[in-house]
Amino acid sequence: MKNPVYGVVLLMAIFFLSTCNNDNEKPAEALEGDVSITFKAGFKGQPLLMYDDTYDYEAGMSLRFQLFQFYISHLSLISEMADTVNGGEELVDIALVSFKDITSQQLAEEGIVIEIKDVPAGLYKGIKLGVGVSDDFNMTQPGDYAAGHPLSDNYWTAATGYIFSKIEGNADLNGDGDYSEKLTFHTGASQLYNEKIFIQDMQVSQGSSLNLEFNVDLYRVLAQNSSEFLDFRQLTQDHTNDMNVAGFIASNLANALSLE
Amino acid sequence: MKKWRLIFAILLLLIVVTYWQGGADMLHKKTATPYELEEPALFFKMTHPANNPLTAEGTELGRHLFYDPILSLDSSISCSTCHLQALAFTDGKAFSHGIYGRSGKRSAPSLVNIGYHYKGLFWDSRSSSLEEQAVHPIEDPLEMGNSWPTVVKRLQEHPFYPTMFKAAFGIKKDSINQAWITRALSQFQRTIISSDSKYDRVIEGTASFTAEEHRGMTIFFDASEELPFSECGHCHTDPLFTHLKLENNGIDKEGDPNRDKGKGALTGHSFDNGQFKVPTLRNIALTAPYMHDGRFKTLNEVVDHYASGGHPGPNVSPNVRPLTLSQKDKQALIAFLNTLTDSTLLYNETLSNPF
Repeated sequence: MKNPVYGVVLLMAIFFLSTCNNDNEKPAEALEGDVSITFKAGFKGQPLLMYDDTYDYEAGMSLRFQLFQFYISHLSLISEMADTVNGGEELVDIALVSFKDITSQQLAEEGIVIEIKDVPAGLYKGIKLGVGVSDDFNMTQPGDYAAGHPLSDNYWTAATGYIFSKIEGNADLNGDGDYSEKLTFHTGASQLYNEKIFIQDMQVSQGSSLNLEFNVDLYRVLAQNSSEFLDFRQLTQDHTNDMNVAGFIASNLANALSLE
Repeated sequence: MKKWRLIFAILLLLIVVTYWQGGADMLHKKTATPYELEEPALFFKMTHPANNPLTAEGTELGRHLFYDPILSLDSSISCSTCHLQALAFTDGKAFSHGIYGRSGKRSAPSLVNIGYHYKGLFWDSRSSSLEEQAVHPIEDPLEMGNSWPTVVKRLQEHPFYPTMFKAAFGIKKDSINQAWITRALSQFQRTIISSDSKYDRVIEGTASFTAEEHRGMTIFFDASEELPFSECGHCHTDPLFTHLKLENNGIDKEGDPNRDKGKGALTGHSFDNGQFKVPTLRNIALTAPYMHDGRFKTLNEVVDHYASGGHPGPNVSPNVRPLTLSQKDKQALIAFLNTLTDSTLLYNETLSNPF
């Protein structure tokens, strides 16, 4: 408060309000609580750590990662009375979930945390979110946002849209410890946006925090099973050039996301 | 009655405290002229510290300080010695030279669009803001070699700087200190914006690429299956032509004891070794030599490095991989890079030496 005049006015306002409230009436209390959403990444049940850790993959290959990130859009709690598709209390309009800096067990355990304050208290029957950048956001561009906004980055001018997900790392193709094969898979296109709905009772209570934890298994993003997987002996990159590959990754990513 | 006395006392205290804390800012708001920064439509919006909004007087003061050798110990060099406007605010050297001809350890990075670099400054991103960054060159023995008390004293005793500080920030000369000085320098640097290259005009629809430039752009952004990929656009993301993050681009052999470890020298983490901030490619034709140590004298050498895939390493960016570029493709890439030159930046008088 830089201007003393404002201070005086504020204090006088407080004084008069307090004198008008002598009948012990309590102001109406907003029924609101907090929600904490944590995203954790793993690979076949192991915590996913960037750079140093290696992960057994299919067909004798082993992998190491430097980047795994994806956008989520319109994460909403589904209120008890709402229908699952349209109703809800939006908690996050857009966020980039990036595991790039997860380089230790401790950081993996902490996960990526998004805190939302002042969520209407009540019983909710589930949560929904979009995996990727929803159409309403995908028609914008970085110039529409301030520095640091999730959509100030990862724009693909050539495709006039955002890169929904990035997976970058290295593969050891022969089990000889040589991780020289470079992997870069970037997806982004409207048709690669997927909505997920998790039906599960959850309660937001006044004065407390509802903790929600999402897990995403990167193995399940790259492989559906031991016969359907990205074979890095055949393919080491895709920038949504091949929609079959990009679609495989995008649908797997949505399926690999689970709510604990 | 007691209640009224108490209220009166609190009011009085509030007035004193608020004026004491905010007096300078209040005066500043009354005297300084807000500076309306013209930001390119395609750039994300620059953010400014709440305690350092752009003003006409602040940026003008910053410009004077930027070009004034008074900041260096022997008054021989200024910020502009290593950041020349004619070279897109670089100095053309592999290693910058400080006072007494001392050689620095890295090449001077370009300051073009530096106000947008919110993810960190310096080659290793060790400073989180321009205000914080500006502290260091002044006291680095390999750069200006000065001390902050000396700089502050010189400016307090200067014939015109106290007046400029008062106009910019509403402070008296005794209040000139490191914080106000770095704020002024930062304000000026936030005005160094470049967005009038041929590339920009093509995007706007007021110019056209040549066939070679178009080929180069297509290769640069991996935009067609019919041409080879160069993978450039992953890290040199438009419109800033940098994603502002750090990468290991494989220019050094893994384990080389003589290599500059970049961010790894700060953190001690092996996965940070060789990680350097990705520089902007805007005005790249003017900013040779290239890389943090200026090892490549020409863009041809740079392109050849990336075409080779660089040295392998556990944290080398997977986007740096062997390329299948013909000589024609390489020349097209360089033709495209040349379209990123903004000559208006070089002659913009608001960015020029005021002395």
